[in-house]
Amino acid sequence: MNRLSVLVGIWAWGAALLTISVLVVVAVQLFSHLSLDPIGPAIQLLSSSVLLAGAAVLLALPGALSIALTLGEGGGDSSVVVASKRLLSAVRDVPPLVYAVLGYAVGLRGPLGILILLVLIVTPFLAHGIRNTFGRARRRERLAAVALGASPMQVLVRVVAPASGRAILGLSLRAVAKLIGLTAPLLLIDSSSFLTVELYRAAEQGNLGSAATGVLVLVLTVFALHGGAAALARTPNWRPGS
Amino acid sequence: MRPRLQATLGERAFWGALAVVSSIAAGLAAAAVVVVALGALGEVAVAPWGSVVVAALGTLLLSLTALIIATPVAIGTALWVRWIAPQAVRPALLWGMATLGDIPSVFWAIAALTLISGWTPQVGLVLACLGLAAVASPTIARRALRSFDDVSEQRMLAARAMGASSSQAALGVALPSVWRGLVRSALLGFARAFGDAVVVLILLATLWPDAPFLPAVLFAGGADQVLPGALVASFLWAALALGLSLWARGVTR
Repeated sequence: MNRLSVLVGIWAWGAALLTISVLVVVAVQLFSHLSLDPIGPAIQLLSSSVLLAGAAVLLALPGALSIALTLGEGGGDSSVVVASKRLLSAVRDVPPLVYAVLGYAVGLRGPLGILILLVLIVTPFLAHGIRNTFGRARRRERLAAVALGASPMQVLVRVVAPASGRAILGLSLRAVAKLIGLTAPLLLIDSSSFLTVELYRAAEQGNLGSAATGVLVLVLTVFALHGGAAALARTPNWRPGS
Repeated sequence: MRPRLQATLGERAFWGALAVVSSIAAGLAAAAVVVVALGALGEVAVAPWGSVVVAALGTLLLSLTALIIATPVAIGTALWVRWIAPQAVRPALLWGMATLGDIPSVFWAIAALTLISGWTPQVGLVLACLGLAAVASPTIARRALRSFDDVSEQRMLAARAMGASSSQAALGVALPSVWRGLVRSALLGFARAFGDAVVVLILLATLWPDAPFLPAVLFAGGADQVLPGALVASFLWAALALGLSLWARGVTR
């Protein structure tokens, strides 16, 4: 047992050190290829990526809210609802490229096609996240409201929604971070306005300076969006009576 | 017994409208899948089945190799972060691990590209395995952390109070009670690696155009053209990814 636990300790320390070393080596390599010239175009492309992704998230939110409400607050425990919940969790893990090929097959093209594709990709992610957020909404307050005679709608509007607002905003930021990182699906539908597609092209042509610079800009943005989501999660959410 | 109020007309209208909208959305989604499936059926006869099946097997093998590399590192790191790392840095590490999971795979592909100059298909294959391992690792680590969260804190404290070190507590208390969750995290990491395209495209497809992997088959006609057979390949890919995900959830229930 003692020897084994020492081995577990060595394993955990070794794995952590390996992970940290890989991250450091990767960062050093990318920074060594950094050049200042491509930063401007990269930020320009990133802005259009973020705008498109933000629009897709905004368009997907009502649908995702409907799905989350149907499967959560108003769904009950029927076999159809249980099966739908399982399907929703599973659909989240379908590779985005599959959506793209299916979209390509039904004729999705151009910026509008990209928007529809992004909405389709992000809706299961948002719906699943919102459902979890609703589920985590304070159980005690929810029960108290029901005990006081509140109807499901009143519980939703007065208790669940105010408690979930910031979490849903954080989830939306994470959804944008997820969408701006997509590459292969966009190559099929329309490849003009996304940073990741230009990164792919730069990498394909061996232009490592541009690729490394662009990818650093992209990753910093993803970190910033996640930082925003974490800050929202830490902010006190809702107080009874507010 | 709690008092029960009658639902108002507005509430009934809201839930009714929600049910109607959800049904229409589900119907449209089902219709789209049927339309595309019919299109794919038309391609079944002309699809180069041999290359599609070989590509699916190649992708499975590549993802499996990545999984073998990623699983021990990811679970070890999760173990370290959850129980061994200094408490002061733990929140930052947890946030870092959550964020790493959403880093686009194009990052790992370009990072791998900067590591070595003078490429051969063999070098590309090794780097693609490592790149996919890097893509899968955060998924495995994040899910493993979630499993570790289910370990009873009281049992861990009891083990520590009886003189166990953090490693002994992790080995004797935590790991035996979460092995199902760890299997699940590994399977989901496998599904993540299997569903990734850009690492294979950047690290392999340019050097090895007829590489036996699904992303290479899909983009064999160029980045903006889908060849016959690609639709069938994508259906096969979707079915395998969905199956893997459902299996990961079912096998560890």
